[in-house]
Amino acid sequence: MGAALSVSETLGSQISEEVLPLSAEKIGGAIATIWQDTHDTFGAGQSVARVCLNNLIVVTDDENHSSADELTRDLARRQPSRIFLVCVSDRAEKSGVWVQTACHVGSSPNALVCYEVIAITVRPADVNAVASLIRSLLVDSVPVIGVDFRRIMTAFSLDRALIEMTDRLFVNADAIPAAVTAIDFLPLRWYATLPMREAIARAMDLRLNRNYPDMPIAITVSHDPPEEETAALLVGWMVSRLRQHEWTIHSRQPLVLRHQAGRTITFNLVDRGTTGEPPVRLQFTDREQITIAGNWLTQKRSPMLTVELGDQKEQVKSNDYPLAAYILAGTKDASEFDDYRAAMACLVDLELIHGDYRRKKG
Amino acid sequence: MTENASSIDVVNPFASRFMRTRRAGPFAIVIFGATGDLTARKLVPALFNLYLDGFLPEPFSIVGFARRDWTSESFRNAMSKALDEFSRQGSPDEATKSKFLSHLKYVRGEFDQPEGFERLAATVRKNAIDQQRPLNLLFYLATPPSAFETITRNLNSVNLVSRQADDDNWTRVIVEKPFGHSLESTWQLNGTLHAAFREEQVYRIDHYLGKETVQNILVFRLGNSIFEPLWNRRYIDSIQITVAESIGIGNRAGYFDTAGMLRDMVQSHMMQVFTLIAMEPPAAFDPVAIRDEKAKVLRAVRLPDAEQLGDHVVRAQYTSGLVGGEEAPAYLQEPDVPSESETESYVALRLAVDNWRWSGVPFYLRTGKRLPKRVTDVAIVFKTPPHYIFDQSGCSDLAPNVLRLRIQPHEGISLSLGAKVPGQAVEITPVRMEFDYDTSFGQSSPEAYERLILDAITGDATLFARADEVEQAWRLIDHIRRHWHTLPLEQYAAGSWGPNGAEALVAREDRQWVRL
Ligand SMILES: NC(=O)c1ccc[n+]([C@@H]2O[C@H](COP(=O)([O-])OP(=O)(O)OC[C@H]3O[C@@H](n4cnc5c(N)ncnc54)[C@H](OP(=O)(O)O)[C@@H]3O)[C@@H](O)[C@H]2O)c1
Repeated sequence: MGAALSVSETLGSQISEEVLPLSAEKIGGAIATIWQDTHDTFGAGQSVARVCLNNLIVVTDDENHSSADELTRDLARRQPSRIFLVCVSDRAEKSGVWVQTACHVGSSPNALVCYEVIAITVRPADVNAVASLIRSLLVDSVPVIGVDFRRIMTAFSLDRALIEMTDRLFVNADAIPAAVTAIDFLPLRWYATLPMREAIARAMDLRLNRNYPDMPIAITVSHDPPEEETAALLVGWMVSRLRQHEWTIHSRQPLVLRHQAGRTITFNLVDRGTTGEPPVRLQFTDREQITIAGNWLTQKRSPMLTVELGDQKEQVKSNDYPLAAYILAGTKDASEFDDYRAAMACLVDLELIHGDYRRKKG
Repeated sequence: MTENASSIDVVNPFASRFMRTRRAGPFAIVIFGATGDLTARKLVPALFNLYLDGFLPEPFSIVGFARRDWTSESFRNAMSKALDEFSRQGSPDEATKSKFLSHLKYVRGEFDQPEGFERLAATVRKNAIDQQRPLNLLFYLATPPSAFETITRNLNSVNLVSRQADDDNWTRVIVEKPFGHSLESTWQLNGTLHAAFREEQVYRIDHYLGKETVQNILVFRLGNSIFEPLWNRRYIDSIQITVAESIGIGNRAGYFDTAGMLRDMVQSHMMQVFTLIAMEPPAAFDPVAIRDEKAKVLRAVRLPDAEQLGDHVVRAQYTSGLVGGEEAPAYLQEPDVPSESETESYVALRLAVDNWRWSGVPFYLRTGKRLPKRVTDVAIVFKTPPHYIFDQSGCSDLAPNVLRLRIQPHEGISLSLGAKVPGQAVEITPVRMEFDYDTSFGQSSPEAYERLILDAITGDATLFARADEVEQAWRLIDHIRRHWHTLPLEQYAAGSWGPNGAEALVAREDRQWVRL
């Protein structure tokens, strides 16, 4: 992997001169030296604040390295944090650590935002050492947030430690090791549905703000075969939200929700059976059709969502929902975690999910 | 099955709870004085930035009203230029900007002539129907207060004001300071507003309250357990509030010379900051509880004894001097200032608060123009330790701990502490711990106007001044002004920190102004 990150607006970023071994002492020493240099560069006449708001642990493998790198850069830009970027690499010849501290100009003149990145490349054989290394380098008193880009969590000791050390964990895998469920974790698949959920919220706002507000009578979610779980998540979310607003499940096959005032909404989850564009489409069906459709999955390079509300057409870009902002907001606000849990509970209840999810039922 | 209104869920079950929890519902804002300076520099840029951040979902509309012979087209062009110059986030792309500008409309009219208001009413009603939204109207009076009465009367006559509390069809009004120029004129002004609006519909804007640090005063005091126990006469020696400006009066002589610093600055911004520092903890973070406490502490401010007013109040005017290396004329030489003007460009006050918390703790307030720099700062000066165990030989007085809340230019908080200088001797030196907003969060704070306009659209009046608060502040200012002529008008050189009398005001009690 590349040695250091390049943050374009970085001022006088300082990088450790050599590859360091997996040693907390060596790394701690290198950080102190670099800070001393940074301070000498900027210190005169300028107060370099070393506020640290978070410990961020970003874990990746070779395959997802560029996403992890991009996120790390964005996180560094947003808040002063100590960031561990751990790449479990089959390709690396040997394990090693680079340390970088950098300051860049904040939003007002004279303001410097400084951060530290400890980039750890680790051979699978050495992975056991990483958890203890991180543990001894964590900054005290501030939260520990984990983001794991691996599709499957395979390094048992690291996975365990990650789950134990972090206050909040975002994972690219759809499940975390079954033994541990107490922790607040959120799959990135849920994050990927955020633009869609926000579009649904907006579409509903629009309906309700018109002069004759009412709820749709049917909601159809059609999807490509590979997107079944994403589509199911959306249905689970809508059903769980409706259940919090005096709607109850009236029938399961077909899925019909009923309001105490007597109205009903029918949900259709349709597997199109073929692959098309966009991979998931949602429609509120009644007099005035509202369609929300698009590619919004994180895997795609530039996801785009189209919302058609009557004759209005809106485009939502994934850039409007940066992952780094989502993660940092998630450190303060648990509502996404709550929503996810409620949606999952609904899906289990409706028996709309299978496989790994089921294990979390107990 | 027929559905009646009662069966309708008005709450959106899918409402976002995350990231952008607070968004405006559908509304129209009508800006009176739309061709003016405030609209171009603050209001439209604030609305644009709210739009960019996703806080203003469709549908909404922005209607400008003024005298000039503009059209919607020329209004959009003027605002487009204003956005280029004043938008906090710039404008990311032309398409977004022009989409935003397409929400702007202009209605030409005179404040005192009903025809314009009829056109206005027709425009906003048609707009609401076209956009299929409830009328929901926010009026922004970006005009001199003298226009309020005619505007509200004419709004009433075309039935644009609803006094309903109905959340689905609301009317609110934002008024700019000054909120009167005396207690009596404030009563009149409030009377004018209350003839058309209920108090809950009136949002008196003081942009100081939209600043992060000002809001942070309460969070800081009440969200941390270590400060509030110290926030009283047992531990606090005195409190200083400074609002310093380095500029003169620019071309505002017409207004400023009739107002003066006491009314322009002390009555509004300084009193707001003062109340947040001095108020009792409210039972809840809601508009009623907070504003009740603010009004209460203002009532507890002791009116200085008229006989000894000079021990509590200093007024002064600047003479020529150098500010930041540049020559500045005397106040009397500023354009359009009458040659015999006695208007103060500087005021210092010593206030006492008669309650259990603050008995015996002086609050020193100072504000002036043409001071060495632009800074707004609150200094909480703590008492020194009751028993001093270190050898004091060779050092000057031990510095007290000072907690500083910096409101501008760079919002932040600092605490000064005594620490040992490394070495063989026990030598103590004050060190400063700083917490800078921009540096710490790495993101820019929204402009005060953005925050406050969104609050008004979403119906949160917490950060706006209520009629009784404003009246209580005037009670003090009027009292001082009644005896104003008994005070000498001192002088200070432009570029200095104020007149000798201000030094004497604190020195009399063995204190000094904090260094800024
Ligand atoms: N500017 C600021 O930064 C600032 C800051 C805080 C508070 N304020 C307060 O905000 C208010 C407005 O300030 P401003 O600086 O924007 O004032 P301004 O530049 O003088 O603008 C006044 C506006 O009112 C309109 N107007 C005046 N008389 C009118 C009439 N009879 N009929 C119709 N329109 C009329 C003017 O329209 P035409 O020009 O088309 O005639 C203009 O749009 C004042 O109360 C001020 O104290 C301003």
